[in-house]
Amino acid sequence: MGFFGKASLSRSEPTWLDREKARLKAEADGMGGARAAEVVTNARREERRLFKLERARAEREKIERQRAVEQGRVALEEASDPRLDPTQEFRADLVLAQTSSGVGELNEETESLLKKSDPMNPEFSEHRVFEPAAPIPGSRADEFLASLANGPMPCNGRAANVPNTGIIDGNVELVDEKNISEPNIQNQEHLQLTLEEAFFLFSALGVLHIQLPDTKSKAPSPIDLLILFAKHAAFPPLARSKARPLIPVPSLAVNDQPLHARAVSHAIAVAPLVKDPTESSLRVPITATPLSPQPPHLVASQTSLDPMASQQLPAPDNHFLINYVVYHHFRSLGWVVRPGLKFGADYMLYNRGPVFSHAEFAVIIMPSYIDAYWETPSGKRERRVKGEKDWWWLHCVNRVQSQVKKTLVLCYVDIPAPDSGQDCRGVSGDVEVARVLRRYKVREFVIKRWAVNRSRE
Amino acid sequence: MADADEDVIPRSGPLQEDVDLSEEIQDFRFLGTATGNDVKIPKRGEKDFEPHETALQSNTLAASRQAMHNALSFQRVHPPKGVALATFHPESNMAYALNPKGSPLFVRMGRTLSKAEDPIGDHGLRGQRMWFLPEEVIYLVERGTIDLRWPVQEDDEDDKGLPMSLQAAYAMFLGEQQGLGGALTFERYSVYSGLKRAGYTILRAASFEGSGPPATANCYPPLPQRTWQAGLLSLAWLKYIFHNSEKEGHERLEYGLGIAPGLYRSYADIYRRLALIPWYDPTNTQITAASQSSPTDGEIRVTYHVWKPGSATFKKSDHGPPDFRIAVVDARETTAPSLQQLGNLMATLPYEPPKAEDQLYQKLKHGYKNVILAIVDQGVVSYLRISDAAFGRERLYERAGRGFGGKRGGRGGRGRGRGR
Repeated sequence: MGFFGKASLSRSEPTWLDREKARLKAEADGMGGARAAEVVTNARREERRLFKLERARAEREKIERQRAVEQGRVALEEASDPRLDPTQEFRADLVLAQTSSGVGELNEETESLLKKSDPMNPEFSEHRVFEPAAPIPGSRADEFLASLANGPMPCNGRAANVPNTGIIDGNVELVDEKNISEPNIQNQEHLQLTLEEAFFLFSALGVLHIQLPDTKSKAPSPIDLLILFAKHAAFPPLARSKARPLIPVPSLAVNDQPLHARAVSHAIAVAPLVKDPTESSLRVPITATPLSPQPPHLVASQTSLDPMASQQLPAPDNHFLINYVVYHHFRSLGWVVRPGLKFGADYMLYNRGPVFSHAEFAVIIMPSYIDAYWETPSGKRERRVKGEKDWWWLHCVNRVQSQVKKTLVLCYVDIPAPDSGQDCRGVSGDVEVARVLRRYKVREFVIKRWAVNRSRE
Repeated sequence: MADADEDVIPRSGPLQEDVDLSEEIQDFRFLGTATGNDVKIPKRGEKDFEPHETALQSNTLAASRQAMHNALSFQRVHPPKGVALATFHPESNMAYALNPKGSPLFVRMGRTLSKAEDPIGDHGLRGQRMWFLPEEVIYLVERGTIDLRWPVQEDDEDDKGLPMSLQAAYAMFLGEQQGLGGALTFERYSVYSGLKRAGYTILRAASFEGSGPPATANCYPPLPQRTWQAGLLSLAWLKYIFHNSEKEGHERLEYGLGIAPGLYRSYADIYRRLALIPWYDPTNTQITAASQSSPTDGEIRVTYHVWKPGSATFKKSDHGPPDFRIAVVDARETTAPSLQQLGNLMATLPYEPPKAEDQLYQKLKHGYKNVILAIVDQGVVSYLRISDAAFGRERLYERAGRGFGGKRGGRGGRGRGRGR
């Protein structure tokens, strides 16, 4: 559980405020502050880029030496001096850099990489003039970056892009930290949840309070929210039928003061979803005010929907519904489910979370129309997904996933026929979300490339 | 040679298991040095991305090319004792040879038919007559292992029959005509010859043509009798109680989907209450009358049974279960499989669950039933292994001892900035 949403100005969790404060503080006193994820990532990328430039330079030199030998300019034994061949060390470092798995282990790997590459510095000085900067207090990573920035310039002069870690500064003085006051910044970012995540937090866990734009004093019930989200599964939002009136948007139910989205995001980000496990009992922490569980027939907004509820239910193959079914299925098993847009899939499954390990599975949702209704002429007309995917698409997706070392999972969702009104109604006669969702069936297949030559033993 | 390159999985880092040496184009210079019994496939040489204008590079290239030409220009000869003569039999679209020797291939290919099956009948040398399926015939003729002849006519000079050319062999054996068990298409032959060249032993499956025999009992999981016999102390028994979500359904549904606010003693309780979506459980399916129904058009079926090259248990008379099952699909005629196609295909496969002590990912990837799809696109074959994974059976929250619970584990020396 956990890892819901993405902050709008950060890479994942909301760190913009901390980064801004650190940046301002660093500008003020020239020291590197606490590092957020983005800073660490940028530092690592920059260091890797410089490393690649150096490696390319070393290989060019090797070729030059070889050419010189052949043309008889230089004696053979002098050119093959292993001391002057840093490409071997480059390979070892490459190994080291690539075995660092997971973002969280960055600091240790960077440290060890830097320790290994220090012996190269004296070699650089053979070829170039190397002026170490004034001694700069700070971590070793900062030292190395500073020395690189002020020292050798790669051939195409890209050293100007050394990241602003706040230490590449000619004049450095130790500053007494007590004199720095925290700059007062308004937090400008918010946590963005996808519709599936929001619905899960709202209805399954009950920790999210959703405020709809039309503010009156009624809480949206789960079924109202389902219909609303399903309507927004496409852009522009779907209208169920032009003839019928639009669903009256349920108004806000406020038990106490309405929670602003910012407060909700802060609550989710800061207050962990677990309590200290050493306690003898655990509570589901209700960080937001829970919706009071009123019986549905007492909620006024629902009674207006009730006689027409079944017609206003979204189509069974609605995009949001199918995605949510799969999302809920994997979340209920314990996986952390994140959007898979970056990898060309629908969802990525993480064992504990994106920060602990890379995702192992990439899920692609394949809606299936098996029910007999979809074979009838009206059923065929109403299908949202027409046409089938071909084998080339499957191979493309599989290639992409195996390139990033993930396993492809095809998740087939068996879409039921549109409800005639019986299945979705609970004991009280009203449409219930759980019954709507329970009509779907899920089946997963794992796809893997099979290599002829590798399976011989 | 160009095709072999497409099979290479790109190297990314020092993970050696990703590097498949035998798929890469080898450096032929090392072939000359490869003698003796402990020869390994030589690693391929350094890849050059651009010409350096050094003599070293061009010399290396020339030497490698010359080595390849030397290896390929080796003249192949047939020993006089090793010639195998095979005769084409038009009625059954197969070919037979009398006691063929001369190649180790015959150990695994061809078979003698019994009295009832032999198309020629029982007279003569039935026991020594080895029949070859169409794909085997084409493969052997391509290699030059057998000498295929047309049936003997009366006005032939000797008693051997006209030699059959390779074009004729392709024309006769590839096509609509039914051999013993089904028609051979070009796609199936591509898969056959590719696998055969790699050293596997390949036989036709029962569902080569048509639906094959109905699903037998080994396609379904064993009945759970033992858990009941284990008594009240068996934890599996308790699991059946909790897995039944119907009982709690009515109280849960009032709160939307799930968790009523309140006191919970463990995470597992919360997760169990969240379980809502029915998922396909391969360990729960049993033989029913409906599962024996005949398939409709467009079904995918297993085409070949494949055994590994080093398989010690394979005998012609008694094969044993195959190591792999291959289903051949034409990429240009079909689309990505639908749930019905995959479901029906899985129903014909035997039930092979993963070992209980495996790791989580291995269990999920192994799956309860698996098949290899060979997707042929005009002669280019690509293999995909599809396995029926049941994610619902591996519940992450029940795995003990992993500190499962969220952001707790991220603190410590590795906290990157969320540690405050």
